[in-house]
Amino acid sequence: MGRLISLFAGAAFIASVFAGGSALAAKPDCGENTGKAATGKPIPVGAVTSASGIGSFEEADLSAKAYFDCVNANGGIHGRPIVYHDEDDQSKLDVAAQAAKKLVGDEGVYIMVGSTSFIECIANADYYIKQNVLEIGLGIPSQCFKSKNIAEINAGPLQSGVGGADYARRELKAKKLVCWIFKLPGADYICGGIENWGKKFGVQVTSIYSDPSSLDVQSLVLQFLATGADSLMVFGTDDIGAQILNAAQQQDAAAKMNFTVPTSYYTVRLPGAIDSKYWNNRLWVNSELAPMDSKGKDNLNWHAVMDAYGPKVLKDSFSQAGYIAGRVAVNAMMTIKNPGDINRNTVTAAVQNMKPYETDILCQSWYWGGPGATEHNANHVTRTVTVENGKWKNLEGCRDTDDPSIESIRVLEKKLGIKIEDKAILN
Amino acid sequence: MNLLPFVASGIGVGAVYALSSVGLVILYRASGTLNFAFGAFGGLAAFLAFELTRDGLLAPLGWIVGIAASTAVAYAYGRIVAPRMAHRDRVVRAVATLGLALFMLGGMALYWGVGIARRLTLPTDFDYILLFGVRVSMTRILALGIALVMAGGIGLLLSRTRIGLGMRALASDRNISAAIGVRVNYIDSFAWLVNGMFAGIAGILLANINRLDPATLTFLVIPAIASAILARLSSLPGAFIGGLVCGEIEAVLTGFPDIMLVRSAGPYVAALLFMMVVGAGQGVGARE
Repeated sequence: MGRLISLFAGAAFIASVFAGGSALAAKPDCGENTGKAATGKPIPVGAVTSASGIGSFEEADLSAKAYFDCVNANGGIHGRPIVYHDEDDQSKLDVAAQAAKKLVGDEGVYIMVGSTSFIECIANADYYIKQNVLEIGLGIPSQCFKSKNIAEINAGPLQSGVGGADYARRELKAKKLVCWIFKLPGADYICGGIENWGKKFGVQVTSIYSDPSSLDVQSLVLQFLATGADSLMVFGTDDIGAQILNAAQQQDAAAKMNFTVPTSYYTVRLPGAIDSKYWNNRLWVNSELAPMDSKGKDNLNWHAVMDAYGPKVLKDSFSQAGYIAGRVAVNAMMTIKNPGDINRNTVTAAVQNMKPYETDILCQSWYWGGPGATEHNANHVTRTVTVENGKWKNLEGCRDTDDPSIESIRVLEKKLGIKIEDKAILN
Repeated sequence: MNLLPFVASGIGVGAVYALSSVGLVILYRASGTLNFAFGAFGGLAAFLAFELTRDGLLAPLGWIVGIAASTAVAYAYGRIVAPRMAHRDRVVRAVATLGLALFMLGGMALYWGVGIARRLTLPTDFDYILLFGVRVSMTRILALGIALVMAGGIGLLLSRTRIGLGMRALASDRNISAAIGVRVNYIDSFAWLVNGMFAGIAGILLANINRLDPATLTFLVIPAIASAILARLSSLPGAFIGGLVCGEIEAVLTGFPDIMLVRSAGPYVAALLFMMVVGAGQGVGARE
């Protein structure tokens, strides 16, 4: 019963977003748009996602699957349907490694699309290089952004964190910031990266690493307050964040510190899981992708694809990113004219040499960067939103995160002619 | 570093650990079973309370239904499964409850999902007292009060009632108790029922203080066991105090940045040290 009501509530939320009368795309735009199901030899595509364990990140791969289902219903890739193989790594390194071997070795996938995991890149980055298979997904640890064969749609927690911290510096006059994160693989990379940003911009950053298995959150909030910092960057997923924000509210911590958080908090669920009155215009959320209610063409198409082929999937920025991952992979495969020539090697070459993918969901075109690219962080231009009256409100549009660690990426983008363009269409 | 604020902060979690520890010890004393499904029972209560309240039921009714459900599941296990395991080794009986815990964890994760931002609120969340400069919510004070009352109530039940006499007899010597006519299965079932009730209340409180997550609530049993070990799995006042001590250890360790990363291990280290100091013969196996 509760599930049914949740579904209606979710639909009502989405409907309310469009109450102004703007129309969804009537029919999703997918692949060749033939309207006929593809029946040829399947194209195997894989994903390794943390669906259980530390957290659950299923929205991206389920959204990629929704897009693939749409493509398959519209002629596939030159008549060949995509068969999507999705494995749960349970947030464990050994399971992630086994899952990749199963997908790449046994299923023979041509490409990995939509993987979202705390640890998958750590386990499999080298394996993908050896097997000449590329991955387009969503990443968290540094290996996801520093690997030759992995490129992520999301900006990543470091860029999102720097984006949020930089907003605090510019708009909230932050001088002393605490970076908090669970001590998990990649935590040092994230808070360490924010410390480096802080050194460049004159913000004193203190990192606090926490025990993920401790049940006592209120003491953590006291630890934040004891630092005397004026701002805080709180990492984690929205459920962990809600727990910390609720404990912070009990100490009236928002009156003493500015709370900034990364894009993982930008979900339909978070405003309902915190006291929106207390957090009204007091929670600054970095958003790596366009607002969910943007009327941009690609964002509307994302809605249309999800409504038609993934109605039960939670719509959030992970879902948007999974959709883009699917689009990029399909567009690249479409450039291989002869369906019989589509295999892992040709798909890899097609993605590496792809034309930048233009979308209003990102602040600049997404690109691979050529066969020689050894690191990838195409999305590092982000936005800021806040909670106002229980709903998300856009505060600031596209702005580069100014993270000093990605200067080489900016040099490559200049060469490729990639420019920041805010194509989101907001009310 | 001023640690007093952390002491104040530890009250809430300490109270939950105290309640859980007492619930575990009661069952262990009566039946010799260490119930690894304690946290899962609590999780069931919390999720049901959350769902029913969200669906429009009055919150107190939701809590009552949740606690009734955890009590019923525990009683059912104690009535149907536990008697069939009664003659097995204690380790086997404990592992059986672990199986139940994992089954329930999987069921809760499947139905309610994991990693979902949601909140189980209580009306006492935003009233507070100031203690050492920290706002201690009335929910946490209430948790302490409930733990105290329930521990005291159980103590009275054990000392003043016939069923309490039976439970003490079983704790003393199960075989002789059976021989002289104590209704062993009846007493065991009652102990499971009490265990389920304690679990339900602890689960709702923890879901409020921490978060409504299947794994978080299920694995409450781990620090609760550490607290119960401090009580040598036999003393109810010891279990209560042990729970408070474990909660405070975890909170106070937050004040030490170098140790903070492993603060959840604090209760176990305390239990280990205690076992070493008190002596193995008076530890977990002492009542065999």
